[in-house]
Amino acid sequence: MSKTINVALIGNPNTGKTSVFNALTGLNQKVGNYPGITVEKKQGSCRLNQTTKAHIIDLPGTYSLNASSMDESVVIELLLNRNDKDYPDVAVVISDIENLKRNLLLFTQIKDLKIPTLLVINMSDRMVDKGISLNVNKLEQKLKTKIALTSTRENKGIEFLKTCLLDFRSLSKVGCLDITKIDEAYFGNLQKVFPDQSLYKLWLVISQDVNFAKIERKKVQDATEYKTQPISHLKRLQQKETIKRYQYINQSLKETYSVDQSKATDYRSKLDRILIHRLWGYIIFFLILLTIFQVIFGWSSIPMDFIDERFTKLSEYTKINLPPGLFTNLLAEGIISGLGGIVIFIPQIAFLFLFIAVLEETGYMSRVVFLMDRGLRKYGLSGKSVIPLISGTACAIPAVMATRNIENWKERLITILVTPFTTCSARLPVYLILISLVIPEGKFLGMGYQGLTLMGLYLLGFAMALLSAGILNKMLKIQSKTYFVIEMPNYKLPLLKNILITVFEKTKSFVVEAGRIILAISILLWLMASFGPGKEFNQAEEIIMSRSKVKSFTAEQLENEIASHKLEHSFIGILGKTIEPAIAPLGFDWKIGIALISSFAAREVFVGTLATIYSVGNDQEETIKNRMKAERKSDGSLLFDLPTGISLMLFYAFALQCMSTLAIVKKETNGWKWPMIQLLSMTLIAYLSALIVYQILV
Amino acid sequence: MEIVQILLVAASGIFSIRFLYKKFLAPKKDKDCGTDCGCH
Ligand SMILES: Nc1nc2c(ncn2[C@@H]2O[C@H](COP(=O)(O)OP(=O)(O)OP(=O)(O)O)[C@@H](O)[C@H]2O)c(=O)[nH]1
Ligand SMILES: [Mg+2]
Repeated sequence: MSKTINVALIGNPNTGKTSVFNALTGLNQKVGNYPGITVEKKQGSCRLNQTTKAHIIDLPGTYSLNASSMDESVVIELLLNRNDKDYPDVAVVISDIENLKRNLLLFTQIKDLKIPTLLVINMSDRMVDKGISLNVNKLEQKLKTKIALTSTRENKGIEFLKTCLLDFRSLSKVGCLDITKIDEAYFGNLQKVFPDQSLYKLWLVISQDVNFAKIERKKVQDATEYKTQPISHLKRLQQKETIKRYQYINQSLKETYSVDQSKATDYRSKLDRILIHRLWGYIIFFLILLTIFQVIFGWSSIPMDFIDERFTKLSEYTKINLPPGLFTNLLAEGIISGLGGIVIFIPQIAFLFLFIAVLEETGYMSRVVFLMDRGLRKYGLSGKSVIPLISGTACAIPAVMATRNIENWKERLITILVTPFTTCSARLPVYLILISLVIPEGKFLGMGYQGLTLMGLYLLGFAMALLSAGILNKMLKIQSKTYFVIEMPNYKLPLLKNILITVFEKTKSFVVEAGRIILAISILLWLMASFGPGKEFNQAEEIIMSRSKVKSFTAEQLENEIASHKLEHSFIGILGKTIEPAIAPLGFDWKIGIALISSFAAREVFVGTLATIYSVGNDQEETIKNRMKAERKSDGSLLFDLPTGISLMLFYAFALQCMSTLAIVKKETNGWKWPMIQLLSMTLIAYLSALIVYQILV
Repeated sequence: MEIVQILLVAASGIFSIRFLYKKFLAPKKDKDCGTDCGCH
């Protein structure tokens, strides 16, 4: 019989909880060098020995048990509810060796809940560099707990942690602070009224505004009657409590923990002096952005063209070598072309993820957040909104979830509403192909126009997010602004291996996820493009042959003429022609219209859709780029010229073309109202700006 | 041969519709979905 124990990982933000979780469970949850990465309870399991398994719960970071935001209250709700199925048998408080003192505050609070508590001191690999020494045994005695010194970087101490977990029954349940000492009269009275309740829990419940839906409500309500003291007095008691806790912590650390200042190399404050400087900070950030976008264009066009050609060859090969028939056509024209529309972007997407990972892991991202925070207040956003806006460059979904650490509801709502303007990785393929078609390759001051355009589009996304936030801020007045303190994590040299794994995993999941959607959509598109109702489609050959102008056509021209007539009268053609009048003023033809519809599911489908539509009934094999380049309007001019290209990019920059974002916004705002408002207004903005720009340029 | 090809095409069509329905329209239980892009 194997038994399972519940283990909760708790700690301040950015101490490495998720890293420990990953090390224990072998899972791969997101880790990053800034606070607030984990916003939800995550679960996994880990075998401790033959008979015992641990059910591990990773929790969002919290500074103390006096929570103010939604992600923090997850922790308290779990710890105060004995009936929760995840209620921990043992609480593992994870701390960071460099910030031990501050981290221990939470430790003492948890211990006072009388849950068996184990202390993990993580990042032990940094002790040498920082000149830190620690007497583990002595500290164990002082804190009345077991300590596991770990480094997930070097994979040290994890096995020891497992043995400590197995032995959790031997952990002392003695608390750290006798709470009655703070105000004997008040707490003595409270205990008399509720003799069978834990005093500290009562105090937690009374002194803060957490919504404890699951605790015995009646008692809680009764308890509030005994708030015999005015709020200001309770606040003072809270402060006293914190002071007492720190006294206890200082006592414990005095003889056990020391930092040799002479050994500590303080490159951090030197770096910070430049990186968050009022002028240099912004210039450096700008230069970093410039480099990123130049590299995405400069380095990845070669592998991209290579993959594009391989796919063309593959499609050709399929047609020649498989028995002719309907399914072969579906494979060659639908599936392979469609998938090519995402696979060719793998190099660029990987580069983007690589840059994001490096910026996050080194700790630079927090400096960016700090820089932005200064400028954002005018727009009704606080620094906490910057994290979603910036992490939205990968994907809007985790970004929307990251808003959970914003306490103020309106501020959170505004952030949720404007986050999808941030240029996510799914927009990248659309931008890349259009830029390479319509923006010349020339250079300006040594920087390619194409890379500059791409950067312009990213900045445009941010600008639009800010502008809309400013407008929303005027419309939905926010009373109290969130109080924002970002903790600056230390700079860390990223581990190459970690970075490569992250990039590989993220790229893989992006491509697989997008690939599956594209696969399904291109099959349906191909079907709808290969069949049609009525005689225009079914007798296309006769109709074309009967026209007089075709007399002079070569066989190839004739075939093309028939194919395009068929396409126009296929199901997809009819649909496209129906919506064409609405999008013609933006410079789009009906095929682009179809791509707009199909990429409503997800933007990354755009290129694949066009590739599929262009290859139906078409026997010459061409790369996707060349096919798009060759497309012409009915008047014979190029379809993808500058005005259409720009108009299309603007449309994608602003439109909310992503079902998954709608779903997550619905979930986070509890209803369809906000996602619908968001969808309509973003589409309107996209349509109008594309319209205006096209009409000016054309 | 012809008929096999047609059947395959029909099967792919059905598979696609089913997949897209499940992905975007069917109500979901999002347990353990986490912050993965596209998981919602
Ligand atoms: N040097 C060193 N860095 C570590 C170690 N463990 C984690 N890190 C780094 O610390 C940072 C934070 O790690 P996470 O696991 O995301 O921390 P977390 O506590 O889950 O953070 P939140 O979810 O935001 O509360 C990352 O950059 C990790 O790479 C370690 O043992 N040594
Ligand atoms: Mg985490």
